[in-house]
Amino acid sequence: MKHIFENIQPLTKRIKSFCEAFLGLKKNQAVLEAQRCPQCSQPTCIEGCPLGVDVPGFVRALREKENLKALHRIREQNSLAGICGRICSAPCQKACILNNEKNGEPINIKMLERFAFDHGRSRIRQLFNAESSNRNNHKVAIVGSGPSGLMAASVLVELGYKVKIFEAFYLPGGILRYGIPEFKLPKKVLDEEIAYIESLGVEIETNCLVGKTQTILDLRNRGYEVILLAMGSSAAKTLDIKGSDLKRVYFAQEFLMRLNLTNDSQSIAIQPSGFLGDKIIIIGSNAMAVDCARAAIRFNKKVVVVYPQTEADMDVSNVELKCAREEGVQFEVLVNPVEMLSDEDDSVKAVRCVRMDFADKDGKGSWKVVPVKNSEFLIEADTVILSDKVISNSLIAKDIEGLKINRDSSVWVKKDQYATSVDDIFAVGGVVDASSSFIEVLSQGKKAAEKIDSYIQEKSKNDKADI
Amino acid sequence: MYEIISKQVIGNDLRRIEIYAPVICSKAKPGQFVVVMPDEKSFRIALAIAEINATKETITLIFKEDSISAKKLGNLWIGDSALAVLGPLGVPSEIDEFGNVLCIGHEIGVVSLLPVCRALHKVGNKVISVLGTETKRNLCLEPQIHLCSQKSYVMSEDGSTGKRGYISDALSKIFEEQEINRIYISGPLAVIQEVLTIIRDQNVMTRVLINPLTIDGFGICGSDMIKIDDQYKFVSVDGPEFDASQIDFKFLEKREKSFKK
Repeated sequence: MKHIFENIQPLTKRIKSFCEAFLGLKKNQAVLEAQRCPQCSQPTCIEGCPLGVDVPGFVRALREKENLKALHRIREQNSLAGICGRICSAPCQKACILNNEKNGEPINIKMLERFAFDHGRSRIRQLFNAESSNRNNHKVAIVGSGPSGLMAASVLVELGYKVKIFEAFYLPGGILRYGIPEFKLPKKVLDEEIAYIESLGVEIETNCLVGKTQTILDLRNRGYEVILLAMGSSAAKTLDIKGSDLKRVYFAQEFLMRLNLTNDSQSIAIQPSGFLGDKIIIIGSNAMAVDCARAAIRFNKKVVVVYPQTEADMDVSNVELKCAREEGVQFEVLVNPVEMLSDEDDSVKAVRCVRMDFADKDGKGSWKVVPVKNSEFLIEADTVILSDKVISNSLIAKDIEGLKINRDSSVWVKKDQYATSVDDIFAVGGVVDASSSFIEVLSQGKKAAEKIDSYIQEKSKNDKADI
Repeated sequence: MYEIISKQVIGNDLRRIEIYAPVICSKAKPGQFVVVMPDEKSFRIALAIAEINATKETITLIFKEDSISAKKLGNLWIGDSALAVLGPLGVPSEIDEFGNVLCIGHEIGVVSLLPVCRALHKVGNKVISVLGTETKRNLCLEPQIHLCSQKSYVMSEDGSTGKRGYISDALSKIFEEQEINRIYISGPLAVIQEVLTIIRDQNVMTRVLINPLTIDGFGICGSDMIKIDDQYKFVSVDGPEFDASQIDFKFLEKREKSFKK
C-alpha cells in the first residue's frame, strides 16, 4: 500500500504570500499513513534518527488517534517536535524499512511528527508537570537560543539544573527565527516551542551579547558553573569569486536576516534602499540557497540558483526542490560561477559561468566534476546572493581567554565530549561544526547536555571529597 | 526596558536621546556603539555611544533622522521605551599618552569622535580638534569638543559657524604650528578620503572611525564586511576603529553604496 500525501498551498496563493507553503496532513491521511507503518521488531527508523525518537511508538499512537500521547512520546526524546516536523531532513525516513524499490516510499515520519504537534500542542500541558520536582542548585548558562541551545536547555532543565539562555537578539530562536523564512517555519510555531521550553523552567535573557553585555567572568560571578557556547554559524569572511565585492552582492544570512527581522516580511520589498534588483542569482546548494530563492520569488523577481555539482548533490529535499521549481525558481546545475561582471557604477550586471561535467581524467575510474572547455556563458543579474559560505560563529573567542579555535574558525572541542580548552566552557552545534544539519545540531545539543551533567556531577563529587 | 529619559532636537534632522541602560552604561568604553531597534517593525540601527552618565545609568545617542527606523526612534517621547538596545559593541579605542593628537570630525561623525576626544584628553594628551560642516545646523557637540580640546577649529562651508571654509583649510596651519603624533578621523567616507589625501605626507599614525552598516551588530550577517590589509574583517567585530593605511576604501565604498539607490 502506498500513500504519499503532499498537501501544499495552491501555487497562485503561495507565491504571493509568506504563509506556510506545506500544509499538514489531514486527520484521515495521518491515520492512513500511520497504518502503513509495519511496526518492525527492530526499528531501523529509531537508529536512523540522531535523537532516537521512538518512531513506531508515536506512529502507533497516531494510528489509534491518540495525538496527545503521540506528541508526548516524541517529546521524551525531542522537545522541538513542531519545528522538526517542518524543517528536519528526516534521516529516519531514509532508514525506514519501506524505503526501497520493492516497497516503494518510506513512511512520511516527518509529516506525522508535525501532525502530532499540530493536533496535540493545545493539550500537551495536561501531560506533564512543568516544574521538574528534582531541582538542584547547579546553574548552567547557555549562549545562544538557536536549535542546539534550546535542545540542551530542555534536557538540562529536565535533569534538574537551573538553566538560563542568553540571546543577543530581542527575541529568542537564533537561526530558527532569523535564518528561516516564514513560509517554511512560521514564527507562531517557533514561539509555541520556545514557550514550551520556558514552561519547563528555562529562563531566557534577550538583548544580551555574551562577551560584551555580559562577560564570561560576569557569568561565573553570577554562579554559573558551566557555560555552553551555542552561537551557531555566521557569514564567511571570504569572497572567492572574482568581482564578489561588487555592489548588490549579498550574503544569504544578510538577506534572510533582513527578511526575518521585521515581522512584516513584505516590508523588504518597499525598503527605500531598493535592496533587491529584478534578476537575482543565488550561488549555493544548501537549504539556505533554496530558502533565499523561494523568498525572492515571492517579491516577483526572476531567480536563478547556480550550483557546480548535480542536483542529487544538493543538500535539499526533493519535495522542496519540486516546490521551488513550481514557484518559478530556475536551477542551473553543473554550472560554476567564475566571475561577476560590473557596470559603470560598480554594481553587478552579470555572472560569467562555465558548464561542468564528469570526467575520468586519469582513466582510473575516479570521475570528477570538471569545467567543460569553451562552455563559458553569461547570466544577467542585478543582485547576487552568496549562500555557499558559512563558518562557525566563534567571534566570542576574542573575549574568552584560553579558548582554542580551529583553523576553520570553529571552536575546538574534545571529540564527542563537547568540552572546550577552557575547563567550565562547553560548545555545541554550528560553533563547533558549521556544516551540521538541523537534526545533527539537535542531537549534539542533547549529548552536550548529558556531558555537562556528568561534568557537574563529577565536580561536585570531587568537591565533597575535598571537604 | 530601555526608557527615554530625555530628548532634544539639536539641528537639521538631528536628535539627541538619553536612554536608561544600566548594564550597557557600566560596560561601555570610548569608541563602542550600540544597535537600537525602536519597535518590532523597525530595522536595527547602529549608533555610536556619544556620552555615558554613570550616575543616571544612561547612554546618550545622537542620530540623523535619515531612515524610517531612525525617524521612529526620533518620534519616541520621554517615558517611551525602545524595543531593543544591544551593546556595548565593537572594540574600544586604544587610549594612551600619544602627545599631540589631532581629532577631525565632520557633521554627524563628531558623535563617535567625542568619547575618544574626551578619553584622550583625560589621559593627558594635547587634543587639537577640527570640526567641519556644511552649515551650523548640521553640526553637533561643538561645545563638548571644545571642552576637551586644547585648541579647536570649526570650519563651515557657508560661514554660519566658526570660519568659512573646509577642514582641509585648517589642517596646513595645524601641521605648521606643531608636530602631530596621532590623528583620528570620523565622518562620511568622501570627507575621510579627502583628509587622508591631504595628510598623507605627514606620515602620522591615522585612525579612522567607521560607521558600521551592520544588521545584527556582532558579525553574523556579513553586511559590515571591510577589507583591512587584504583580509576581510567585520566593522562591528574588529572595529569600528581602524588604521587608515590598511583600509581598502574602494571596497568600503562599494559595500556602502550597495544599500543606497
